[in-house]
Amino acid sequence: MSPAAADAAGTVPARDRTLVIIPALNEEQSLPAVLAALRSAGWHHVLVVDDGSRDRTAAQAARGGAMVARLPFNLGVGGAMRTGFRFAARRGYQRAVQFDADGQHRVDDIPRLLQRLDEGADMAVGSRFAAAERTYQQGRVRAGAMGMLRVTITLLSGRRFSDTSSGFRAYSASLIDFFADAFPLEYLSDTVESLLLACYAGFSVVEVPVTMRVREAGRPSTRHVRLVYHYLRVMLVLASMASRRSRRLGRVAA
Amino acid sequence: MTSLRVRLIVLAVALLFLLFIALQVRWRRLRARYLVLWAAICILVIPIVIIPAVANGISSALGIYYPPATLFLIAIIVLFAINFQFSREITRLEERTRILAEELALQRVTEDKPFSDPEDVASEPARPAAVRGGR
Repeated sequence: MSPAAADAAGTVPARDRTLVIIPALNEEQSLPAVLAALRSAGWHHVLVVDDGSRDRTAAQAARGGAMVARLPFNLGVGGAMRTGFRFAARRGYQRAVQFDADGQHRVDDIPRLLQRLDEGADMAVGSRFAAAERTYQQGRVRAGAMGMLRVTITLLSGRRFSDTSSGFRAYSASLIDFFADAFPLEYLSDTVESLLLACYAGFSVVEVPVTMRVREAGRPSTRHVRLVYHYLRVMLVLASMASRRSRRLGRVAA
Repeated sequence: MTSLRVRLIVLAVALLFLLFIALQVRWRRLRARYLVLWAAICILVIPIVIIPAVANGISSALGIYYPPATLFLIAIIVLFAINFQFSREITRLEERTRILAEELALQRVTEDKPFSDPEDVASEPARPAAVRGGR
């Protein structure tokens, strides 16, 4: 997608209708580089949702030229993203990109995600594993849990996803409206449940192979014991979601 | 069946509890809707305990040979239902809190220039803008 691509009105460049949403928790070290990379690639509409950080994440985000929404306390990635969707819906952004604050996603991949939206998809998910070569390193417990999740999702949705825990995604305008109200809020559900929710609600979801870097700074947000608990919780939620397959949940928040 | 003494004790406890929840509402520690809930439970407990025929009648109707077991069963079911209802209410309250937090964050979005929200400056001219949110 070229930066010069204009909308139907022919005035606003595509990049100005796209909001990059960065949920951030204690990422003051990696955030400046991420924001600088986005800015130099031409993404000027960046919203950092500071999810109750204890460090100077919000200040670094403001210094990096991003818009900053500071949550008064920690809501988790789901709450931060819903805040971002609300913002995007109210400001009339046509597309939103979810991007990590820790530097594991590559700015160069954003246009490839958005291209799939242009082709008619509602949600494009950057997948570490869709590509032929496997470059991303991960622990065995995590890999096992993710593998089981993948199988379950395939059973429930009838779709095959190679990377259900990716936090690198692009959303269409209709999905922004949908998720401004209905984005799942609990830990881990922001990735898996949101994927299924979008599928159940009839949105088209596609995967795009991307490469992700090893985290630049900060700690991974998961520990193994917690991962097992949350995995079980997600399983129960998914099972209960299967019964409301046809119900349309979408209602745009006022 | 239960002795007169036990019945009197239970009756006294029930009446004291009724008084206690009435005072809680009066002191605004309890909302009126919960007064209705707990008072109803109290008032239902009293005849079951005082008149043995009630517990015996329910037991034989349910096919339970030991009437006190009926009382335990009823108590467990009622407490379970109340507990579950409380889980639902906590869920609703938490959701509202979350929405308030999100709305607060959106209200104070800083754009490029931090701490320069014109509305806040206009409404609170006395306070330096940089102090905002610091408390």
